[in-house]
Amino acid sequence: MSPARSRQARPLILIVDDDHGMVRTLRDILIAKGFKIRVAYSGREALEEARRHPCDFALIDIRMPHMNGVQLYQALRAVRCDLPAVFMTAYASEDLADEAARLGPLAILIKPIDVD
Amino acid sequence: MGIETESYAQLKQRLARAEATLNALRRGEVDLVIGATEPLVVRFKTLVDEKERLFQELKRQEQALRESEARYRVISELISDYAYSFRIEADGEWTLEWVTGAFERITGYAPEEANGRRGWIDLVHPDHAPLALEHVERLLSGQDDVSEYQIVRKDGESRWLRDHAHPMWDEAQGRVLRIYGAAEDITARVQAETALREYAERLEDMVEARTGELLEAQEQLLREERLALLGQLAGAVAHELRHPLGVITNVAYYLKMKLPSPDEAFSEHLEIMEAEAKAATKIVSDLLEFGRMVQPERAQVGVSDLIDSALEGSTPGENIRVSTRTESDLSPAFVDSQQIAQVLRNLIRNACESMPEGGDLTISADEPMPQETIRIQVSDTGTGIPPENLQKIFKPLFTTKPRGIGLGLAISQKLVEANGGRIEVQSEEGKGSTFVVWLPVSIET
Repeated sequence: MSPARSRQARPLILIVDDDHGMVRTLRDILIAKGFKIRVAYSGREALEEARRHPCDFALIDIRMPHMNGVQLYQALRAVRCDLPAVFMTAYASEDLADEAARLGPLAILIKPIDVD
Repeated sequence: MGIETESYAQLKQRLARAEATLNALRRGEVDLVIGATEPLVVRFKTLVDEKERLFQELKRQEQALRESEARYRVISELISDYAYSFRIEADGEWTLEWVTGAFERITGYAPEEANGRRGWIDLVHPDHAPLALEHVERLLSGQDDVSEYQIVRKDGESRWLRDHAHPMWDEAQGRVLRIYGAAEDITARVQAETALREYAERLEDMVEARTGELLEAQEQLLREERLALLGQLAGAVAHELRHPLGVITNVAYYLKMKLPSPDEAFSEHLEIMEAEAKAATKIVSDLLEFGRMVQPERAQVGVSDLIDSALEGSTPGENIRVSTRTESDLSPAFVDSQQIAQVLRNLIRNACESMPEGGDLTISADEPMPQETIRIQVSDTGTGIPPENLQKIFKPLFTTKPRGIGLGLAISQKLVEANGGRIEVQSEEGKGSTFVVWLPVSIET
């Protein structure tokens, strides 16, 4: 992922994962790579963040409590239908991942993610 | 006694006898008188009557004999056994002097033919000659004997006989003069017994084999149950490990990126951390993969592409020479390319790990049975596999590596078999190993 390929000079990425360690490390790596980052630890927080800070790109964990990544992405797209997203999951094949794939994200990354 | 000495009384008495005889002749009571002084009176009629009576008796007996013979002949022809009588000469020669018609039906020889040969013993199957000779010995010593043996019919077919024989001992000559006997064709019975015995033996073998199969199946089931349970547990743990492993990988990545000019030891430690996280990730992935086998999506795949894709994802050490030999006009394989590439990567990794001091890794592909199967061979010049381990290496959780949980080859075998192929190994300790993967050729060529 490189900022140069994005629409703006410093695109804003929304990272959504209930795992704090994952959010923290991804945030720091992506900041170091030159992105602007907002983070959220649940679907509800993510919707709140997205409303206040419209993002260019979402990095979403599929399996989260209360609202899963797929439901979150559907809700985000209800506001902004062309929001590009990448899903993350620890489960290479499960029903949710298949469902996520049908929503047409840019990619589904299997954890642990190769950050390059 | 002279006439001169006869007294008057004697003469008178003789005269009276003569007159009585004469009167009897006249009356027809006497037919002939022989002798002058002492006449012998012969009565013809009595003789004739007696002769007639004897004649009638003879006729009656002859008739009874004829009837008895006829009855006997009919019966002896009707019964399936044959009866016989041998005459034994002083010089030991046997002559079949009488035999019933069933002899020819059973042996195929006419009685004269049997005599013409070297006696009855010639009929006996060569394998049973010793049995028959014992039978003969017992008979010649005067004992009754029952013996079962095989004969060879004139048409070459073998028949079983049960021979009851009774010798006639002659005290005067001190030897057996005749042997009477009856022989029964028991071929059908013996065949039935043999078939029954063979069937019983086969049944025993079948039961034994089936028991073995059942035990094997039971063990297999137990193994699979244990594995399934283990798989569930391991899968759950593996899932949970992926998150922390991801975070560790991220941390290492971040530190490597951000540290302005880390010293050598620092970099090394980060490298170790990354490598270990990668190794842990591999174990976790294997565990998940084994527990959840994905259905193959089979399609036509070029064999060279498969090998290239496997090699691309592999990192053989610098001291390993890699060479590929692929026949030019191979048919495409009909497999899930990702799954088979994963198998080949696994085989390549194993090969490299077996050559820590370096060596040759050779990957070759050919088509021994055109249009049927593709053979891909991954060979190394590494440590090889001890013979006692060759049977076990495809079993889950078997490993000889200092690290790893022994699922790589088990997964490879499952994947190859799910794709309609099979995997084999040949190895010589100290010389190296060759893993052979047979893949089906695409049906639509």
